[in-house]
This record gives sequence, C-alpha cells and structure tokens, in this order.
Amino acid sequence: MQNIIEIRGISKSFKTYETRSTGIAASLRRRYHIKKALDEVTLEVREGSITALLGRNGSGKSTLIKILTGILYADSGSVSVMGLNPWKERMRLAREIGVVLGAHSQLYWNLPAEDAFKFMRHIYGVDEAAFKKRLDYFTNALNLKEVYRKPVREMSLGEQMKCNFVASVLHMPRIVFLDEPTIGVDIPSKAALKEMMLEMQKENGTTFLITTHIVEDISVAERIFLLEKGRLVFDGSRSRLEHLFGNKRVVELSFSGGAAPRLSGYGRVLAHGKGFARIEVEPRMLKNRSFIEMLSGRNILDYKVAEPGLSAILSKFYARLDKKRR
Amino acid sequence: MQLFDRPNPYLAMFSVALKNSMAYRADFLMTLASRFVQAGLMVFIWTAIYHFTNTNSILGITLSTIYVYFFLVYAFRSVINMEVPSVVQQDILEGSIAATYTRPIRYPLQVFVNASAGDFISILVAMLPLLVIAFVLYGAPLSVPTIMLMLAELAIGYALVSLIGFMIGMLAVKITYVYGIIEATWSVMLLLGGGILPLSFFPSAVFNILMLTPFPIMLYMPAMTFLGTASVGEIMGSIAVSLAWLAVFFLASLVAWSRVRKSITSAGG
Repeated sequence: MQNIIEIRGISKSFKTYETRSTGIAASLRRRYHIKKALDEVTLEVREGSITALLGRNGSGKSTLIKILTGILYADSGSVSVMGLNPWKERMRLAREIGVVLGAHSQLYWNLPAEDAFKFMRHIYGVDEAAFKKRLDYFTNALNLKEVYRKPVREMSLGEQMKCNFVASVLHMPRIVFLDEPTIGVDIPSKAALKEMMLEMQKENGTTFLITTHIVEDISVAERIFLLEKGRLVFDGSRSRLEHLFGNKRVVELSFSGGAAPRLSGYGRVLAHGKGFARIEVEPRMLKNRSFIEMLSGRNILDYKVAEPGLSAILSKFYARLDKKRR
Repeated sequence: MQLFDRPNPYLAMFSVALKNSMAYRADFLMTLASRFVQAGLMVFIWTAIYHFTNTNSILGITLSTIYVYFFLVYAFRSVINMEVPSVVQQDILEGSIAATYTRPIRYPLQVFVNASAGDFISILVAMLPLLVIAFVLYGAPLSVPTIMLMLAELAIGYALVSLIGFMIGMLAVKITYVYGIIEATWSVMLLLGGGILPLSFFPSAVFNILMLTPFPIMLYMPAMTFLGTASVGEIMGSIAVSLAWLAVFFLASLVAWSRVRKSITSAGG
C-alpha cells in the first residue's frame, strides 16, 4: 500500500486574545498572543487504512484535518493528499474526499436532510440510480428511514450526525475525514457506523482518518497518531500503545473468610478488603507457577483478569506527558 | 422541485436556498409586507412636506411624481439590499464556511447564489406588486426600450451592491463583526443612491459629483428612467460610469478574496 497522505513538517499558528479579568473595563483591554496549533508535524497515512488521530482538547487535531481538507493554509511545511496540495488544488481534492466536521453541519437547518443529500448528488455528479441505491443502503443501516425526510431542526443530535455522515459519503470518496463523528450517536448506530467504515474500506479501499475524544470510536483503527500541544507524540499501532503504556493486567480476587492470601510479592496491590483484593501484575506473572497456585488455592472463591482499556492507557500516557512537562 | 433534477450544482444550490428562504413563511411574508408599509410611510411624509410648504412642485417634481418615485424605490430595494455581507458574516461567525470549503464549490459563488435566491422571491412577492402600484399611479404607458433600460440599470446596480457587500463581508474574516459597517454603508448608499430623497434635490454641484459615484444606478437612475425624466444621454452616461465602477469592484474583490482566503480560521472547532 502506498501513502495517500504525506505531511512534512507543517506548522500553523493562530492569533488569539484573552481578557485579563472579568468586567466591562477589563473586556476592553485584550492581550493578544500567538498560539501554535501545529508544530512541525510529520506523518503519513497509507491508502485504504483506518487511522485515528487522538489528542486532548486544543491539541491540534481539528486544525490538522482542516489543513488536510484545504480549509486552512499551513504556515510552513508541505502537505500532499492524493498527490494534491489541499490549498492550491482544493476544488480537485474536494471531489475525492468526504468530510464530517462534528462542529459544522453539512445539512440545512430548516430543510429535511433529504434536500442536502440531493444537493450533494448534484455537486458530485452522482447518477440517480447509484444515488438511490446508496441512500437506501446508508439510511437503512443507520436507521434513518423514518428521519431523513423531516426538517433537521426536529432531529436529535445523533440523528444529525448520522445524516452528516451519509451526506459526506454518498459520492463514495477515496478518503473520508471524520472529525468527532459520533457526538450524540447512540450505541447501535455507533456500531453500524464502524461496520459501514469497515465495509467501505474492504469493498472500495476507502481511507478513513478519524479524530475523536471517544476512545471506543477508534477500535477499528489500525494506526494511531497522538497529538499533544500541536506536536506528534506517538505514531504506531494500538498494540504498540498498549505495550508501552498498558502492559499491566489487573487481577480481581474474592476469597473466603479471614484467610487473606499473601499478594505483595506478585505485584502492586491496588485494593485489599474483607474477602476482596485487586492487584496489578506484569503479564508474565499470569504464567508464574506460584501465582497460579495462589489463584487455585482453596480459599479463592473466584478471580478475574482484566486488560486495561484504551481510556486507561491514554490517561496513563497523558499523565506521563504532564509529569515530564513539570 | 423541477430545478433539482438538472445537473448544475449552482442551480441545485439555488433551489435549496429558495426552499430555505421560505422555511419560516410567516416571518418571510411579514418582512416583505414591511416594504409596503415603509413605502406608505414615505408617501405620508412627503405628503406632509408638500402640504406644509404649500406647494404642488418642489424643484420641478410634483407630489404625484414623488409617490411614484418612492413606490419605485421600495420596489428596487427588494433586490438592492445588504443580504450578501450578512450571509458572509454569518458564515464566518458560525464557522459554517468550513463545511462549504470541503465541497467542490466556490465560496463567493455560493454566497451570491444564496443571496440571489432570497432576492428572487422578493422580486415575485414584493418588487412586482410595488412596480404595479407605481405603474398605476404613474398612469401612462411605458415603452419597451424604457423598461429594458430600467432593467439594465437595475441589473448593474444589483451587481454593484452585491460586490460592495461581498467586500464588506470579507472584512468579517479579519474583524469578525461587521454589522456596524453594514449599517453605515447601507445608510450612505440609501442617501447617495436616492433612497431618502431624489438626488435632483441636492445642489447641482453635489448632484454632478454624485453622478460620478456608483450609487445613483442602484435606485435613482432606474426610477428616473421609469418616470421619463432622464434623457437617453444621461442614462447612457450613468451606465458607462457604473460599468467602470463595476470593473473596479470586481477586480478589487478578486484581489481582496485571494488575500483574505488565507486568513480564514473557521470558528467553533
């Protein structure tokens, strides 16, 4: 697979302001400063892959998406999306991409989503038969049949997000940029969105780049980029992230009576109460004979081994970044 | 809508914008109805002026001509308006310009198409009835060349006000809020375009200078053409001056847009 997106050392700054304190007089005295939203970011995305772009609020995720889609200019560095410069060849690029911006709707507030879908058909020159087939497929899969003919203002936030997704993929783009695509979307629809992404990837070789705060959204991602204060701080697979920051396992034990097992030699005891204990251990400990014998002991009623979720891994990652900065 | 089945994206955009403009029907119709009320108000004010000055004619313009003049002005104001900068400012403030930029459409064209959809409805619902009233009050037949010249002037005026409006809208990229500038420009345009009083009421030196500005073609000259008080030479001169302004504003808009485009930041994440 070749690279479909190549970013080399891009930076982007914005002029922002803040007032020194509250009150009318203070609001007149603004302090301007330059905020570096992206700082020398270099990365590549493989064609046909599903890639996640993670980061905390203000880390530069949305700015990066806006640069890749030609909305914003970069101050320096170079960007190639399908061999095109997004700012100089925006019109050509826009024909080949689909974009869901969580904060900015593709729909018309006063009109049914159907009008926006038809509008997209004309913009991208989709023939009517293909349009009907795709619309039928997407609205069925995302449970929108009863919804897309009513005005957008009467839809729930989740329904609007799903309609935005449909509006952005009706022309079967080669790359789909999803910026916070699951705000307000219910659990079955989230699953349907993931299913649809995997199917579009498999059938059409569509590339997806997803930015999100919701870690469950990126379960389909093969590769993860992590941005922190405009800098790329991690580039790798989910398993590498897990290996680096989530290689511990948590074992929860319940035992009978007052016969508490001795746990301190196996790992870090997280909790120890009457008939209950939780201990964090290295994965190799799960094969350790002494540990297994302890788990099989008569007084152990039950035990459960849990892997840390991605949320926990990221929390750990951010905690380490913050500690380093201090 | 039938228009929707045609392949042109801008035609499809026009069709959606038409539907969108009519979404809140009651509010839309009340806004249009206000034009009739405003025209009636001008009739009332000028009747009072003529009554208290105890005259039938001011600077050669009779009261009945003034009635026709203001019905014409309010008819033309259905399309001569500040819709374009309002649309641009809204897009900048809400950040919806970002969504537009992800589609293969040109933003300036989208703005003009969206604004023209609203103006199209205004033509049907407000401009045509007001023109009919003006015609009835005028009480004399209009020749085809007169109508053609008036429409040509109005078209140039419409293009000028749209370009001026777009340039004001572009300021929103830099300074975000341009309501004040829109209001101030609109007031100046109304005064210098003949929307408050006929330009012939100004001293002749001022009048001659005003005729070299881009404003008379928006309201005053089409009304004078309708009333038959402007000669063909005056009309052609005004059209020539206005076309020159149109070229200047068009080129200025292109240059300004190519610079401003790089400063778009898209509010709201």
